Amino acid sequence: MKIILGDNQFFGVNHFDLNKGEKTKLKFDTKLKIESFIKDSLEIGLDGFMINSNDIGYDIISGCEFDNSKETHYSIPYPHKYASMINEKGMISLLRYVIKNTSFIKNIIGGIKLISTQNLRSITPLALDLEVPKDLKKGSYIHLQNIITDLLIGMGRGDILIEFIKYVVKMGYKPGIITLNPIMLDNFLKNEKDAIWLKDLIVCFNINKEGFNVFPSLESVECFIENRPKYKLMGMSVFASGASNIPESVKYIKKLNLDYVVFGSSKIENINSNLNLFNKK
Amino acid sequence: MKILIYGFGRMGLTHFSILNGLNPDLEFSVIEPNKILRSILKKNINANFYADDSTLKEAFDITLITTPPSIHIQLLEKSKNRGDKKIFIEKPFGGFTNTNLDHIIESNNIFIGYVLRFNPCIQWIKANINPLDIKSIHGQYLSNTIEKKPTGWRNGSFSGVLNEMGSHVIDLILYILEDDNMDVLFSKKESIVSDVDDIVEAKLKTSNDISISMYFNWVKKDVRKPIFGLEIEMKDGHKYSIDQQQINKYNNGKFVKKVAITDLAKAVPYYLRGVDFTDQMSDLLANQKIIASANNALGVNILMEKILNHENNTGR
Repeated sequence: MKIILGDNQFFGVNHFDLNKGEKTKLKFDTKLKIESFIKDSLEIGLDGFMINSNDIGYDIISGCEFDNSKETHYSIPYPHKYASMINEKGMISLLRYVIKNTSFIKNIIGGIKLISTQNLRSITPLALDLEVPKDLKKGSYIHLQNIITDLLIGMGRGDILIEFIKYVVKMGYKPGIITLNPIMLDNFLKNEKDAIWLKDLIVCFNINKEGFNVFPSLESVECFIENRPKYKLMGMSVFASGASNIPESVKYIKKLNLDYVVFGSSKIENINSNLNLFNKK
Repeated sequence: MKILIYGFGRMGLTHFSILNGLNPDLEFSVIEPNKILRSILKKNINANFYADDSTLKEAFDITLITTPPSIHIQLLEKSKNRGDKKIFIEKPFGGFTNTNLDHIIESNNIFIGYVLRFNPCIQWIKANINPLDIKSIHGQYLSNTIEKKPTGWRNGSFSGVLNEMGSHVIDLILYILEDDNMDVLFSKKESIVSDVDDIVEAKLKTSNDISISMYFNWVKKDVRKPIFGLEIEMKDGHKYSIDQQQINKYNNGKFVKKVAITDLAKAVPYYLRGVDFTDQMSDLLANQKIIASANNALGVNILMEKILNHENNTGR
């Protein structure tokens, strides 16, 4: 099982304690502090790191160098930016923004396709062009954030998720999908059971022994993991956002047939002790 | 089951996705007057799209009104006339100026989207404290929602932090107290980014002498995600501090216990923006045990109107 450093601590996300999240964010108030924490985590043995495409994350990928043997997991988009845009200027503003801010060539090709077909699937290449820094090393993972994945699942637009996966592969990266509805996503992916990209795909979802934010239920997600789909499985929220007893949580997670886990902490000593628990035979 | 949605902005899309996620067999019709948006949606969403409702004569099982508040009442009347069975309207119901339902005879099938009621921490409070034992409540809502001056209706009197965010907290306070009879003692509003209220604070007192204070700010730069919070002081010296994720109980200033959202974990069949959003739609589809009624929402509007028009409101 590969262990990946999560990024919630960098951006003040704590699903268990909002105040703690805000305090942690202050600890990582510069790009340098985040970069240094990631490097320390990789040095002690983590297999890679995940970072979101917000302004700081984009800059870190664009301007910092990390150990090439480690994996980079880049998640897009930064939902807050687009939610604010919709709040302030309405839904159409989102399409305008994507078209206006993508590169000229991509815009001509993708923009014409979007206007002529009006199929939101055509927006995928434009959005990827906008969100992915040129310096993201090839072979890295690009994950789609759960707010978009789960909206598309609810809309019944699994085809846009497939388009995302295919375009990520075409760009020379590996695809990742973050979702809180892994079983509903799996139902869409069942139609693609022979696709070559399945072996590289990572599906990332909540799993913890408390069943906190594990949907539709802990039992059904455990069963889903046990049945081992063809793609890779990454567990997130494995410590129930800090609410659980860590050794017991690790023991539980290790029993599951997962390929990856992603977790974060604002303290390198916690990262180290968690890693040791995962590595303990 | 036939469902009609008026307006397909962020909330229309959210409710559509949740309902579709809960039951893929629902049949949707959508009224979206924006021609460009309608044209794109037609190609992307499995629903019947219309520019207006002039051709829709048959009653719907559920109608969702997720338009700007200025046209809530007009659309509600049309839905009632058509005989729609359940009508769900996004908060704030018609804005703070809508304080009565004179023209609507039957209102027991009208529901309002005060979604925070469905938060598991609020449900815990509802189940574990007696409103008669409450001495005071402080409510707040902090976010960094408005970074630039908004355009359109979001920069007018139907918007503002009180209408859009404060209304949620006021609903929670009234829901917990089971009482909407209160007077405003003090209120203050400030415009920072928009032309309407960006910061509102108020002090109130109920007819039972319970003190209420409120603070709403949606231009708070250091807040990443919206935070609502309640502090409930009991007559016996206990205090509950509540946010979306936890309840901390104190006795005369000393910490007693914490109930975390993880202790209240519950499963939903489809998750989009929070368990509360899914539960709200499930409740609407089922038996409406928690969802806010039209009368609950009118109680919120009356209080908002009192706060904004209070004689000591220094911002007016």
